[in-house]
Amino acid sequence: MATYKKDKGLNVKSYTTDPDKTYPSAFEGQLYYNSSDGQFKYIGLGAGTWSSAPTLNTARRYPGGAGIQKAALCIAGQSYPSFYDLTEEYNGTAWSEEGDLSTSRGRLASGGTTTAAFAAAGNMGPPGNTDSAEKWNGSSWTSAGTINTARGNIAGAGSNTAAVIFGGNPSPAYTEIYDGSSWSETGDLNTGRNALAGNGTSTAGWAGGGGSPGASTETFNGSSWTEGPSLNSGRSYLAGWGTTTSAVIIGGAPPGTKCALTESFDGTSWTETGDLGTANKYLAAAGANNTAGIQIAGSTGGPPDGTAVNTSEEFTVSHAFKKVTTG
Amino acid sequence: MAYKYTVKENWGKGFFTHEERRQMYLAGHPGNVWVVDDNVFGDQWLLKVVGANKTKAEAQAIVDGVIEDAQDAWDADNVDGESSDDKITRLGAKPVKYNLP
Repeated sequence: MATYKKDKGLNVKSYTTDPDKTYPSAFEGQLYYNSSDGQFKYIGLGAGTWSSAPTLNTARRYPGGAGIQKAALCIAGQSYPSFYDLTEEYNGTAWSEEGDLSTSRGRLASGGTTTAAFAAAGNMGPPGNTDSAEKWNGSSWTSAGTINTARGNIAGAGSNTAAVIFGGNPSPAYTEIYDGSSWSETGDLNTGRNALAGNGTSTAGWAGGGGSPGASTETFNGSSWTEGPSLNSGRSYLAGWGTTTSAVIIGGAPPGTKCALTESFDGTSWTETGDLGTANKYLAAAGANNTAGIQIAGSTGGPPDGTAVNTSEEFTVSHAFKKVTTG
Repeated sequence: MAYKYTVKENWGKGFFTHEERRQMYLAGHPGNVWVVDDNVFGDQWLLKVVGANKTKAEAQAIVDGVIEDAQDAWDADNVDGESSDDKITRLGAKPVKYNLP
């Protein structure tokens, strides 16, 4: 007869009550026995929730985001009619102002980390969209050349040495990749879209939502796009973070409004989870996977003025006690 | 489900926590209007933030006012020769009113 001891080399601990479910007292996936209710249980993932986080120094909408939950960048953005070149960095405790971009912009593509990020394209108001790209080394921005087709409401993925940008208007299917020295065109999105979300890397990126507004998603392998599972709620002007197998999308705009909806992707399908505290669109986000991330600025009112916010919220998936059941 | 309403600017970290979100419904709206469950957890949060508590009708009026201002601003923001689609691309869609829970 197989036993857990034989298979895993470990005894199953017995507790009279559910144990502390946080590391190092316990760890995700840990199996145990609760002698009070006679249940074998394990520590699994619970629902994701949002909490308020420190406010940014400058309210803005249409910024770019980069990084992870406790180490993130807010890049550029606008508060109508002003367009910003500002960069703020979050260290898990507070937002602080860092080096400015060379070109002010909103509705840009961005990605990377707090020490290796990029910003490309975007809108500058009059005179329109920019083809400028810049790269961040942790302290300052320098030129990363120019993209081939200037556009706004675009998304991106990757780092300051290997990036991909996609979608946007006026060329909603265009995709360009950056190899650390120049930008070149590559395979188009299957569904052209603007005001979309995207993240990942230049060889494993994803795009979701955007357009009319749409619910479709696609993944990028470095040269071409493949259609993926649809979101539960189609929307544009949303934000997202994560990888092609573990991601989150948040907020955005069904026609004429905004939403607080959050959806988590586990590599197979998108599932709704805890809502943002405040419905938000034109926002940015950062995070590594579907267990933790941060919402950055955006708009909780309507255009065109007085609506940019300086708020941020942190998304965290807590651990939960799960009963072991037979199949 | 019954709710309570208050007006308070989100001060950032600690304004609402993961634990509070797990315990109760909470949602922010235009005009710094917040809606929470009418229960012990909602009451605890209201005591913490010390907002200006409102009736549902008062809270709805605040939200409506913000959206009406945004609608007026949207209507007034025009560029010669711009199509309606281009305007939506530039500004986003015109805000619409909605009802608080």
